Amino acid sequence: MRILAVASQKGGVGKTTVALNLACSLARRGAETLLVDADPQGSIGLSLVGRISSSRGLAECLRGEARAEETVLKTRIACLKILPAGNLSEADHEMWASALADGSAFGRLFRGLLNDYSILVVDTASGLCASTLGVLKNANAVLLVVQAEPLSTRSLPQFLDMLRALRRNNHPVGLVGVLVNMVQAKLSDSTAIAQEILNMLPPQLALATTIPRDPMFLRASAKGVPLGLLYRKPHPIALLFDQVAAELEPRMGLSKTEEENEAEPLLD
Amino acid sequence: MKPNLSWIDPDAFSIVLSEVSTDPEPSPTPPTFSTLDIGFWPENRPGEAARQHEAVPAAGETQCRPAFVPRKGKLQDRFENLIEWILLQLPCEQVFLADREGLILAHRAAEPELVAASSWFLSSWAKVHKYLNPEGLAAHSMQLHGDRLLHLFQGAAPWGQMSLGVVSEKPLDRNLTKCIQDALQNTIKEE
Ligand SMILES: Nc1ncnc2c1ncn2[C@@H]1O[C@H](COP(=O)(O)OP(=O)(O)OP(=O)(O)O)[C@@H](O)[C@H]1O
Ligand SMILES: [Mg+2]
Repeated sequence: MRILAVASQKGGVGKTTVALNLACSLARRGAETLLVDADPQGSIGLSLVGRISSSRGLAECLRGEARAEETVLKTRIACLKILPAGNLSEADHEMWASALADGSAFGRLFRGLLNDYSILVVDTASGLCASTLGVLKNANAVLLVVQAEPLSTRSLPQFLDMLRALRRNNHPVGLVGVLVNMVQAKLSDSTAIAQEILNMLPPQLALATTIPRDPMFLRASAKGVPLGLLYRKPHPIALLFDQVAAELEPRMGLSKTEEENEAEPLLD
Repeated sequence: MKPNLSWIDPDAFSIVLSEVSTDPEPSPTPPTFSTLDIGFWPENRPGEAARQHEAVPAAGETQCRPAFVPRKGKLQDRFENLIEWILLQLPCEQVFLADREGLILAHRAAEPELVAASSWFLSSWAKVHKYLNPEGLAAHSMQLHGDRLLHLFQGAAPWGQMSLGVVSEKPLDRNLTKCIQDALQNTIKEE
């Protein structure tokens, strides 16, 4: 199983949006996917209509009050399941966060899910938050989301330093890609910074796909659905996440075996 | 010169990047082994393994000598320590540790095709095994061509499933199997 943490140093750059839509695409492309909401704010829950926000979830699992299998929600997409954030009272927050930082609680949880999924996509809280550290200590891959604006990109080195420190402490977590989000094609400052980041990345970390800033995201969150389910015929921007998934699959060892992936003739 | 909007020093940045990116993942290839002879036995969860790594053999079973002593520190050193210990337990033609996708993490004389096939097989078999024995990790022995046997062990590491493979002419009895499985869990558990 691969554990992919979707993370960023700065808040509001689109982690939750990317985690949700990428998980849908990975699942539609055939990977048994579990989307885990590891942001104590429960942002995945806030993004989706349905019974998710009141559901038991990660908080209950980590407190030992529920088993992950009991709290995982099925979705309309066959291969996609969601582990919601669960219920955390305001008073619990601080104590909770420090209890998670050492990573052992997440380690136990993830181990229990080992055989049921090919990939866990974990939405994290931004920066060096304790629960994010706990996730990163157990993840094997990180997708870093940056917004195509200067402040977000200037925080990149800080995040990478943290990742390097984890690796030096024998945590096998590695960066698999940097996704540039909210590119504004008509603003030269936005495109210039996107280009600058892409130019600095080696090919194994750059993603050819970038995500434009688009009002469709607002519409999808207003409806409480992932972009791919906003219309019966997916919107072109939803398809971009299929491309991101296709770019990431080989980097995470999710590619099919050669035999499974063989070309099929169009005609008999 | 173009303005530097991100304020990032590209040289320093590329050094950090090289230190934080994952190694490329090989795609698994289809299996090449011929016949199959499957066995499985109860296993110990990581916590228990620590206490039990000196199992008591039944009469006539192989003693594990020396007993496995897990090494602390870097994963690579811990892997090497496990392989060295296995080489003391039985005559081996190949030994390998691989991740779920068949990426070799440490080995002695391992054939990459066999490693990839083993990881592919083990991850499929682990799903079946979970129904048969939800508490245990999978282990199997299967016949390769000739008199060689491939002994495969599933390991549950904090970062995902792992496989340990040992190619040997010697069949494993229950005790040696248990010792190796415990040693594997002891090697890959969190410190
Ligand atoms: N490409 C985009 N175009 C337009 N709006 C976007 C895009 N990506 C994200 N958004 C919007 O930006 C806001 C922040 O996104 P999101 O919640 O995904 O960020 P985040 O990094 O998860 O934030 P936090 O750090 O608070 O967890 C949301 O309203 C979201 O709908
Ligand atoms: Mg978020």
